[in-house]
Amino acid sequence: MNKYFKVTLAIVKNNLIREMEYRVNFFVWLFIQILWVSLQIFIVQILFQHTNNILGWTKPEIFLLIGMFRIIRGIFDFFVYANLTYLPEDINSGNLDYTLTKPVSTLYLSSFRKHQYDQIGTFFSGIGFVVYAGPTVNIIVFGILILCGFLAFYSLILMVSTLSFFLTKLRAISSIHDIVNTILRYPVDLLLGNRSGMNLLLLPLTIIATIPAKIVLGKTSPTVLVVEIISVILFFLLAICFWKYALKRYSSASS
Amino acid sequence: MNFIQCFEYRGDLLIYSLSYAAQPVIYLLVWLAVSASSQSLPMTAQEFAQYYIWLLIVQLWVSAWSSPFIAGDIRHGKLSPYLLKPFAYINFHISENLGEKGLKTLLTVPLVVVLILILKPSWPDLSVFGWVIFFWTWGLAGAIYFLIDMCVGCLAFWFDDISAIDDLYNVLHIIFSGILIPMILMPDFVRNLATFMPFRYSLSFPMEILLGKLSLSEQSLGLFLQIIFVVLIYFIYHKLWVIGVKRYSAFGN
Repeated sequence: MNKYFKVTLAIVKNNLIREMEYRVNFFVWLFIQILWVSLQIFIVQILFQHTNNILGWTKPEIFLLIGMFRIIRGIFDFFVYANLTYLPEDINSGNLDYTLTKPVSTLYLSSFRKHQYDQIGTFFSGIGFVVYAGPTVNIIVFGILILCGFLAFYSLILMVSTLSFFLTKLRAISSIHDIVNTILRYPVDLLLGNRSGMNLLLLPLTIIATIPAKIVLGKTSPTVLVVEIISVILFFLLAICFWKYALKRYSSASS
Repeated sequence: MNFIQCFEYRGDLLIYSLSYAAQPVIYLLVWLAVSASSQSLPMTAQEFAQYYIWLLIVQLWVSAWSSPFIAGDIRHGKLSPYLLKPFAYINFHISENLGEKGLKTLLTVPLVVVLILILKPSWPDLSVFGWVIFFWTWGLAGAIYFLIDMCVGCLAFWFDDISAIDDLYNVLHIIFSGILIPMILMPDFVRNLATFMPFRYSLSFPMEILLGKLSLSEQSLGLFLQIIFVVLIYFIYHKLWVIGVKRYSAFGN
C-alpha cells in the first residue's frame, strides 16, 4: 500500500505541475463549466414550467439527482476520464507496453495516471445542487452512495474501454461517455415511463445515480441500499474480470 | 473515398451515430413524461414524437464536425499538403461531411423505424409547396451549420486550443437551435433573441416549418434571414481563411 501511496503522490505532483503550465486554460474551462451548469438549470426550469412533478419527481428531487450525478461525474472526470479515453490509442500504438512494464498494477496506472483539474467545477456544482435540494440523509450513507455511483460509473466506462483490446479501431469512447451523461441527468425510470420491463436491462445505468438518489429521497425502502452495494460490487468485479481477460489477449503493436 | 474510409471505423461510426441520436431520443422520452404529467403544454405527445423523430434525420444532415480536425491540421502543420492541392480545402470537408452523413443515415434509419412503430406519430400536414420550402430551408440550415463550424475551425490560426470556443458554441447551439427544447416551449425572451441569431436557422427553423407552426410571413422572413446568414457567414469564413493562411507557417515535411 505504501508503494501505491508514493506513486499516487508522484502522480498528483506531476499533474499539478502540468496544470500550472496552463493556468489560463483552467479558468476558461471553469467558465465553460458554469455555462453548462446554467444550461442544466435552465432546461429543468423549462421542463417544470407547466407542471409541479414529472411522473412523481419534483423539481428539487430532479436537482438532487443532477447534483449527485455531477458529484460522481466530477470525481470520475477528475481522476479517470482522460486516462480511459486514451486507452484505445495506447493499445493501438503499443504504448501500453510502457505501462505493463511498470512495477504497479496496469489497471491502476491506466485509470488514474492523468488528472483533469478543471473538472473540479463539476464536483462543486454537484454539491451546490445537493445543498439546494436539501435532503435529510446521514452523511455516511450519502458518502457510501456516492462511492457506489463512482464505482458503477467507472466499471461501465472501463468495460467499454476494454472493448478496444478486441476492436482495434475504436476511438469513440468519449461519445459513449456523452451518451451515458445525457441519460443519467434524468431518473432512468422517468425516461422509461411505463416501460418498466426495461428496468433490468438498464440496471448498470440505474445503479449509478437513479437508485442512490431514490435512497436519499426515501423513495425506496432502506433495504435497497444493500441491493445497491451488492449490485455495484458485482458489476465492478465483472469489469475487473473482463479487463484481466482482455489484457491476457493483448499483443503489442510496437516492435 | 470518405464513404469507404468511414467503413474502416464501423464501430466508431455506430457509436457516433448513437451519440447523435441519444439527445433527441432522451429528450423525446423526457417530454413524453412531462406531457403525461401536464395538461397545459403547447405541444401534444404526438407532436413531441413527430418533432423528435424528424429531428433525428434533420439534425443528422445539418450537423458538422470539422472544426477539431481543421484545428488539428493547423496546429500540427498538416494543412500544407492541402494548400498544394488543386482544390479548395473547404471542398475536402464538404465531401467528408456528406460521405459520413450518408453512412450515419443508414445506421440511424433502423432506430427511426423502431420509434415510428412504437410511437406512431402522424405524418406532417404540409402541402407540396410546404415540403419544397422545408427541404430548401433544411439545405440552407446545413450550410449555416457547416460554415459556422468552418469559422470555428479557422480560429485555430490564432488560438492554440479552440476546444473551449467549440464548447461555448455548443452551449449557444443547444439553447437556440431547438435540439433539446422545441422553440415553441422556450420563454419569449429566448425566442426573440433566437430570431436574430444564426443558431435557430441552423436547425429549429426547418423543424418549425415541418410542424406547421409558422405563418407564411414568418416563413418568408425566416427564409430571407437564412440566405442573409449563409452569405454573411461565408464571407466571415472566407476572410478568416485568407488572413489565417497568410499567417500560417509549418515545420518539416
